[in-house]
Amino acid sequence: MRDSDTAFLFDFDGTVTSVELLPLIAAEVGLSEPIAQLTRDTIEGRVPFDESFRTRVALLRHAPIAQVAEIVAEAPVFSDLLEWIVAHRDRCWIVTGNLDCWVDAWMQRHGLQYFSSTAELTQVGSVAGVRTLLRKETVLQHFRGRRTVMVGDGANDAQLIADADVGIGMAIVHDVPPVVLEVADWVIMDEEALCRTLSRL
Amino acid sequence: MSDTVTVVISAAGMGTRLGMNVPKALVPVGGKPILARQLDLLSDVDDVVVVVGFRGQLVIDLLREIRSNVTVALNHEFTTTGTAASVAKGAELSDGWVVSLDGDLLVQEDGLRRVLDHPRACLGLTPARSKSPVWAEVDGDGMVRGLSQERETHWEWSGLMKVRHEVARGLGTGHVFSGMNNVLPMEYHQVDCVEVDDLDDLHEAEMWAASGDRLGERRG
Repeated sequence: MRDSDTAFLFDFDGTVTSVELLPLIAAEVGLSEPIAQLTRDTIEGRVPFDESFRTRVALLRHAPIAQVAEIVAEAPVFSDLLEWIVAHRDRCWIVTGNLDCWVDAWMQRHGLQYFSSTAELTQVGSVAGVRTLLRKETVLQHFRGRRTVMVGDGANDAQLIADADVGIGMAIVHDVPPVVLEVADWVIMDEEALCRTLSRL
Repeated sequence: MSDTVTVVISAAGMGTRLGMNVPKALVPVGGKPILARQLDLLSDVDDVVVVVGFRGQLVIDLLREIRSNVTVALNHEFTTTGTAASVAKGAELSDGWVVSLDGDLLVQEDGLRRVLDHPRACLGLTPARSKSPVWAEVDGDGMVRGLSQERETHWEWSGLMKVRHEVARGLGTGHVFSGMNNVLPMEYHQVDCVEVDDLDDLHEAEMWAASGDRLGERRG
């Protein structure tokens, strides 16, 4: 069952952090309402994810990168899960749609490998726009021949949860969306149960 | 050989004979869903897996309310596979013993406890009386020799069993009893229980709950 070559992939927002990051960032720069509206429209399928993400980044591009990194650094996390990931960091990767310039400091601090969207930066070092937008399901091409486990909580994790050898829907804070329930192998509502399950994979 | 125990509760099926349009595990008996009654009896078991399929979110809603540290396994093929596929799915991460029961089984604590605590593989049998039983053939040494829907005996299998994880994962995708015939003979314990397959069973289960779960006394 256990396989030392297994690669563990984790969504970031709402999976490793216990809150979504974009609303936190939006609140800090006084854009809570438009971001919240856009997030609702995306979750309910009125705006495609890519378009929504680009618009959200456009709204937030004036937020200083250092300030955003600070917000990410202080975001509450699932500490037992993070401890598990750090203890197994050679076999763990974070897969996040967030911009690299926003999350890199956090990843470095915990010594974690990650895949993210990347930012186009201006000459003065602020965000000009989205250079590459991470399609999460494409990361599996880096793990050909390896057994993969994906843990995520959102609709944008569903394809990767479906394609990984083992797909885990994380339902600690909120239920998984129906699309995740359709494709996951496991749904877990408790942090300790999640760590126990990961240790058996 | 690991002695850990994983309890697997199969609650993926559609329960069409009962026809209540919810998984049978959620059907209230005496005001309390069958699954909640089962989990009450399993409070000291750390590793409980509930396998869901048909209207799985409803089962998850109940679990979040009453016991969020169970692991939910999904059987997406619940319309085309039997309980054996759910047992296999639920047992996937176990490395010791698997105690398996159906989500529609109201079982008395003593019997469940005897199966959980038994040091070897065993089955939970009950005197035959349901409409479509899986009969158990028991020999003079107290071993179950065969399980069948054709050869009538005095005992029927409740679906409750304790087996090694390899066995639980290798029962095929149809009826559990078919796969179990390959790993008999096996010891057994008598358990008092009601399996809720149809409205008559549900009525009986209600009476059972009203009598304070004392099945034996009511029958005696």
